[in-house]
Amino acid sequence: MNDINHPGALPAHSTSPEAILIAAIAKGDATAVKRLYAATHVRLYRYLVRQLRNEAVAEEVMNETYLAIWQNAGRYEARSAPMTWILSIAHNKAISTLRKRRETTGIDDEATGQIADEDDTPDVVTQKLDKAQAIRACIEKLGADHKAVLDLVYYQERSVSEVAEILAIPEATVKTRMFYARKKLSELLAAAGVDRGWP
Amino acid sequence: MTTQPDKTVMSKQDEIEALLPWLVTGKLSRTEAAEVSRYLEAHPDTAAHVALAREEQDAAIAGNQAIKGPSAAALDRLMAEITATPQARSISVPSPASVWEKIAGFLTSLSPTSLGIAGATAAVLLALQAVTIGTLMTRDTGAGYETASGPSATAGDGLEALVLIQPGATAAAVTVALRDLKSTIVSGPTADGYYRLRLAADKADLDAALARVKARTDVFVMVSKASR
Repeated sequence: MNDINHPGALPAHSTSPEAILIAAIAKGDATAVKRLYAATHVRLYRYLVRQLRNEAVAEEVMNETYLAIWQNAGRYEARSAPMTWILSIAHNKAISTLRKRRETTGIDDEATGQIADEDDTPDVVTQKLDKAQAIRACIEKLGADHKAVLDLVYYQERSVSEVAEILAIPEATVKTRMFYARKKLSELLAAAGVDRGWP
Repeated sequence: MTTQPDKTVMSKQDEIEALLPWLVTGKLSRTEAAEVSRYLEAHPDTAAHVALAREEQDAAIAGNQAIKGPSAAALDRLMAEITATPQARSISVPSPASVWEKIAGFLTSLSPTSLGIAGATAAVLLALQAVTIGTLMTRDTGAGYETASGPSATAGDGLEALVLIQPGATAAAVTVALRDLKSTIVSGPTADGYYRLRLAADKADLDAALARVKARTDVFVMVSKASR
């Protein structure tokens, strides 16, 4: 019941199918979890795989996310779109997982991305891949922060404010992060022999 | 997970470049979309960069779609965990009743001497509550009543009701009830905890609409026609 003092204040997302399922989960309906899973798990799983770079870990974190939804569905107040709320839970869990991995193994996932940059020489990339494939390969080489903002906008189709909510950063930071993600992508492509003419 | 510091000083062209991804996904606000359109009309070189954003969109989608789904066992494991895991206690919607429960808890914690003083205070408060409810009930038999926030709480046209929400009702339950009733909350809570609902009904259907709201005893404690 946010924005209660404004006319017509019923949250816009409260009648979406996913929001109705979350409301049913809040009442203890476990079968609604199955239906919510069916409606959202592919997009959620893909986001986690791209962030965590490990399918088994992504599956585990995905299940932790749905378990958190089961436990806390009563706290969802439809202030944001259901998928934005779900992604924000998943993103927090992914960050925790990456932090634990870094603490226990000493492997920095950001560094992992940079090392991959050097595996292929520009010639090899241009020989193997056409431009579209090169862009896709270079997105894979971006750091987790940059890849997250690209995926959230281009694949998950989240708005600026929704990305800000998921990543827990200001909207202005979302925009600058997107700008530098795209700039870094162009640099990676240039290094791979693909000149995009920007920046 | 920080890749590099997010710099904050950007030129106008950079600001527009930063918004192009949301332009191609149709997720810009109306104001920003208009601003970007105006800029692109005046700067054809930047307009050519929209195609770059579309290339990135295609690549991001293809990269995601290349990922197969999780194993079939994932859902089975999830449901087993859910069966074994209790739900967290729901957050209650604040209501006047919870205030009175807190007052009651406070009174029971007092010594006999201080209880006498507090008892007198509580008696006054209870009397005030009784007067309030009595007044509301009396007015309810007539043309309706005003909330503590008065006429300013009224918003827009249409038939409206005043409701008091159950102390234990969750926000999700209220949301579902509002959807079922095709109603929206237009203001509240008032000082005495009432919310004003706009009903999906015309004058001929008002009593039936109020009855439908009153039937939702899982969510609403008290329902009454609101004056305008």
